Amino acid sequence: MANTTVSLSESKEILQLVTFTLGTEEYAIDILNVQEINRITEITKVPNSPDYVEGVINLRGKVIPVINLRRKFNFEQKVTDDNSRIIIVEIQGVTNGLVVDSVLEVLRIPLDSVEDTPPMSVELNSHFISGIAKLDNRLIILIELDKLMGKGVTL
Amino acid sequence: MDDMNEIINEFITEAMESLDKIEPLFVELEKKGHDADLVNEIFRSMHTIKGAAGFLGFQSIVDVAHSSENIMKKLRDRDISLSTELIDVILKSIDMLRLLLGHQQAKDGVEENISGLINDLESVLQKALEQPVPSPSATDEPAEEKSVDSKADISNGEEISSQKQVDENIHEKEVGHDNSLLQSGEAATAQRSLADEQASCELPATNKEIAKNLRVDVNRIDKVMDLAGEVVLVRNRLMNISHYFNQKYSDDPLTETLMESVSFLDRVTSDMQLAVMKIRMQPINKILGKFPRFVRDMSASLNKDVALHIKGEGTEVDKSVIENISDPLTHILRNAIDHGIESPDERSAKGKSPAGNILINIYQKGNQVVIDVSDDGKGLDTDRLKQKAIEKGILSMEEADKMTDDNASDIIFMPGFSTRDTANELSGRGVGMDVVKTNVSLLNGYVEVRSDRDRGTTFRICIPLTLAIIQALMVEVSGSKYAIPLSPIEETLQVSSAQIKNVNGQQVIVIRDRVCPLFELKNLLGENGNGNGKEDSEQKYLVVISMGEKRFCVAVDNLLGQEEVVIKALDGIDTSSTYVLGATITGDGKVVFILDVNSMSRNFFEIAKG
Repeated sequence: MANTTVSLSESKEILQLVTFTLGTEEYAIDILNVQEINRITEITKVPNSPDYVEGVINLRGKVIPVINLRRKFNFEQKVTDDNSRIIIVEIQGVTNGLVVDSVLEVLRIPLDSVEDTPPMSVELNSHFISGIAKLDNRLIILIELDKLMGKGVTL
Repeated sequence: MDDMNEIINEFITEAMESLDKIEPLFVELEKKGHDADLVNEIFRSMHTIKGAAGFLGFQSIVDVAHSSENIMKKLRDRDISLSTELIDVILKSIDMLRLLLGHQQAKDGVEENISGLINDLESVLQKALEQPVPSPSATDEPAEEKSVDSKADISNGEEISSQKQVDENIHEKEVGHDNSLLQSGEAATAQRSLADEQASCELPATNKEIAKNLRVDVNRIDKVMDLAGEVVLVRNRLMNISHYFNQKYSDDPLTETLMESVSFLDRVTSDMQLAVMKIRMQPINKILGKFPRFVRDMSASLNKDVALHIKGEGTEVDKSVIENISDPLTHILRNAIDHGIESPDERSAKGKSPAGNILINIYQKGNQVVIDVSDDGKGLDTDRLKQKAIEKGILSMEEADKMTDDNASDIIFMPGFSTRDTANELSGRGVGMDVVKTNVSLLNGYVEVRSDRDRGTTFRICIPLTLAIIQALMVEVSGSKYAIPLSPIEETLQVSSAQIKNVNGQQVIVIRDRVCPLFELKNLLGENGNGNGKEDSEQKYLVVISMGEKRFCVAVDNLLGQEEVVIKALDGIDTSSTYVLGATITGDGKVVFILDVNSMSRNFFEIAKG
């Protein structure tokens, strides 16, 4: 936690986020959940698993599941390319990988630039969106991982 | 507050361990009559528990331990003499202490009513005090010998008194600042140092070996184990590369150096893996401690006289085996006492000693640990077993006629079989030995039974030393590799498609006159085939799997051979419906799934029944 950003006033609470893209949208997760970010490695498909489970990877001797966020969000599928990454996150003690289109940056934003999720259609599964950050002309969707795949949430 | 929790947890673990340790001592004490050493040891353990519970403020534990300790003290001072009644009530108080400790551990705030037990303890003590104590000369131990004994025990006695003093000091301090102590973290350290003081007083006289032991969190050991597995993988890769260089640049002198280094690494890695595995190994006597009491209580309730002998209790097995073998063993013992050993009259009539014997013999054989449980009871009545199985519809007449005695003994492992007509509290609740078989097969082991009429029955359990590594058959389906645990595999065959018949939509195959259901692994795993698989080829490879009496085969594209695989848990994936037990990582760093034949068999046969 080095104090690199000077422009932000010290009294305000600051969020540190890792931002990534899926399609044209920008998303962000809390940096404290992120263990590391890897290039796409060989993914072994898990038999009889839900389709958003992309498979498992060998992370230095540990076998960890990898979730395809595009499938989880019911987006159109896309073949992984050089920009694709696996974000290794730890959610309630369990390590998971998330396949995303690309990873952008580590962002420090003041808490007050985050707005509550605007009311959306009930049909939309938005309970794991904790808010939307407005930054210049960017809109970043904040994802709460505990609600996306924590305990009690059926994977 | 965390500090406090740590102290409490440590106390609970230690108290549980000392309860485990002293429980079998009671049974020994009962057998031997008065034994100063045993009484002293029990007294000391009770005292330690009481002291520690005292400054943690667990009043009910203190009360129970105190009352039991009183009895032990009187026993030690020979104010009272030993009786079954006395031992029964102290054993009950041990159960209560476990319960109370359990509540503290779970932090469920449940209060047990201990007043009844305390009253029992006190009234038994009163009664014992009123009874005339046989004078020392009247006991089997002559008075002179006793004085020699106590001289030899001088160091021991001193230790006890010094420890007592320390304890009293602790109690004084505790009374003074009881509440404030419990609140501040600083005080927690103070308590810790008191506890240390007490421990250090105990140390010199008890066992020097204790100082050599280290209590380590299992997770840390598992971490080291994971890393060791990782090193093994890297070694495998390095070995592949060095072979490549050896072939390509055999003239280069450096190649030889490389080969040498790699083969050295190979040796060291194997040694390291073994060493790490040994850390997880524990002597099996950890779970054996409860059996003497179990046998005592159960044989008493059945009016039988049974002596339990244990051999090889120092045999070391993996922690996971220790955790899972206790239930099957209890079940076998229960069965032996209830069904195996005859009543004293019956035994006398047969010319046997009235007291029955059960021997638990544990030894290591290759990379397996073998547990034999033998009794000298009446043995299995194979005719009755057959008859019972026919009555219950588990077996047909013809099948029964064809059975040899050996095969008939295996009937007891069939699901839903129990020979007792009325279920009693102790055994024969309809769940029978099939539970033992299932539990043991979950440990990748197997159980056998041998029996001689009127001479006894022996159950033999064989389990691999560790559950972390298993032998597996590697198979290929639709271009993917899978591992099937080797232990339930009966055989593998190559058949042509023409041999496979279809009965009501279920594929079956006849193997040596037995019909066996057949399943395509491809379909089970939901593999749609990515083009690499051989589509409906003429030749198929079958893996015949037998789980207890259930037998089925799975068809695969190819058999790749046998391998030793390290099981890795799959965290974060719900494997309940995937037929996958875990995963392993092969030499080239790929993830391969280990199939769960147990859940396959469960699923197939449930569907078949419904």
